[in-house]
Amino acid sequence: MPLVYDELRRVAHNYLQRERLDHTLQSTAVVHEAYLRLVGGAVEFQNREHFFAVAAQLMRQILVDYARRHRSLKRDAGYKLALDEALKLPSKEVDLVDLDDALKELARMDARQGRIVELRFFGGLSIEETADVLSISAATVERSWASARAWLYRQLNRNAAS
Amino acid sequence: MTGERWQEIRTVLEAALAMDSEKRRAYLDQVCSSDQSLRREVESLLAADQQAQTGFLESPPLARKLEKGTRLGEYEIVSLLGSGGMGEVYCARDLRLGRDVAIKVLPADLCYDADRLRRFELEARTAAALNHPNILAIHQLGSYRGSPYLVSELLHGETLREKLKFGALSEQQAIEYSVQIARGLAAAHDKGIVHRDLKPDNLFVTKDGRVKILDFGLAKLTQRERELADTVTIREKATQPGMVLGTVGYMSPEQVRGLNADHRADIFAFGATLYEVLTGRRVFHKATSADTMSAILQEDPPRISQICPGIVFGLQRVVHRCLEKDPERRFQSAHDLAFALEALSESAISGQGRLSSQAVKAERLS
Repeated sequence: MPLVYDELRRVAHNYLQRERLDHTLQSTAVVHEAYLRLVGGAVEFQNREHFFAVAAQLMRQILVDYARRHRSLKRDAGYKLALDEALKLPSKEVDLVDLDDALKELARMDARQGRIVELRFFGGLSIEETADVLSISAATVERSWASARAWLYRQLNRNAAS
Repeated sequence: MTGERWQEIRTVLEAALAMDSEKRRAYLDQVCSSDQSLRREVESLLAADQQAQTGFLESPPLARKLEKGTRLGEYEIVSLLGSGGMGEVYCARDLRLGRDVAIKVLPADLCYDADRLRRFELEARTAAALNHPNILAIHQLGSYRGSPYLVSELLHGETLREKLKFGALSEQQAIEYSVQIARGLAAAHDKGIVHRDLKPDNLFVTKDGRVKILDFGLAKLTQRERELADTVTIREKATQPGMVLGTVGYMSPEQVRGLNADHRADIFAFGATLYEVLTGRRVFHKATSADTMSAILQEDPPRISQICPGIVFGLQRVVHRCLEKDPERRFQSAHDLAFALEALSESAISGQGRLSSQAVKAERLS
């Protein structure tokens, strides 16, 4: 496991390094690739569940940092329009920074639901895979996911409205 | 909201979500009879759930590989073949025609601009209509959860990049491949299609030795991002290590300058590729992409004769002519290029090419 963890950290680091230098979507492509290599690749893991969990967490961190930095860039910079276009994040409707805040709030109320959303959304895991990682039934994941999603949706739209 | 309160709410919410609307009302009447604020919470979340059905949090910010068995129209995913910056390539089964195909799924983020996507489709369609043995045959275009995909013939073999892993190829092989590439390019250029991102990664060699040019039209799709990026980060880009912009080394001077590039940009990229095939070295490779770009603009490529003295003189001349900074001084058409290479291929077979190159050497020595 330490090896896998190191590998993930290394990819994240490389990614962030490049990200700093190149604010384009090409970075997204880079992380996309790294991610596929790690999660979807041919590497055998002794503990798939742990790997998924760590990967999801790391992806969240990377992407939210990415979104946050772009947000502050947008505020500071005079060339707002070009940046808005160039830095558009892959997921169109969701503001990842707001989502991250809402997710923290959700995790405070229910830690397991927080993890389910992290695994499903940031890690891209299916209901079944999420169930495996957390050692709970798929039905539980499905129910928890549905209520978490409704709550997050409401939370994000409240924030947007206020 | 406290954790305890949330547990109460979510228990009712989850039960209600599992019911149809008729039962739901009766259920809420019953469980919320003494707690109207619970009811308001649950109802507002039920409404949120309704609105969230439109795909909220449905696909992860970075799309994950498609599982085996996923259906994309009449195609069923069999396995992942590979992935790269321009998306993932899968082997899939065409259920209608009962044959295997390759499907390239482009990242959704490359395609947020509908206009650009339409142009890409148009170009891919035109390329599809080319129907040339040296151009990857495109069967269909589609879209899966916002990510466009491209269905093409399934090839067995490897990219030229992979072939170059162990260094230069033989002269004979280089000529064979490059004639095919030039023919494919000529067919595309005839229809007004410029590749713009020709490089060993986009050239595929099948097991029976046929070269296919991949990804016509894709370069245009990424172009706008580069342009936009240039407006804000040109300074930063100049210090960036060369690896992210892997294509830089094959870009023509006019592309580096951001000028309009015509089919002769492909001829330059062709030259850079053939140079690498013959020498095993990237012609303008430097530590950073800024240095590489500057070399493309200013430096003469090291003469092939200095790296690999044995190569037929005529072939060296072809490569260096493709690599001229001024498009006017390059081969003016891929047809001419193919013709020149075919002539070399014939003389290589008869041995004359090598003889004459040796004669040149002998002359120099004397």
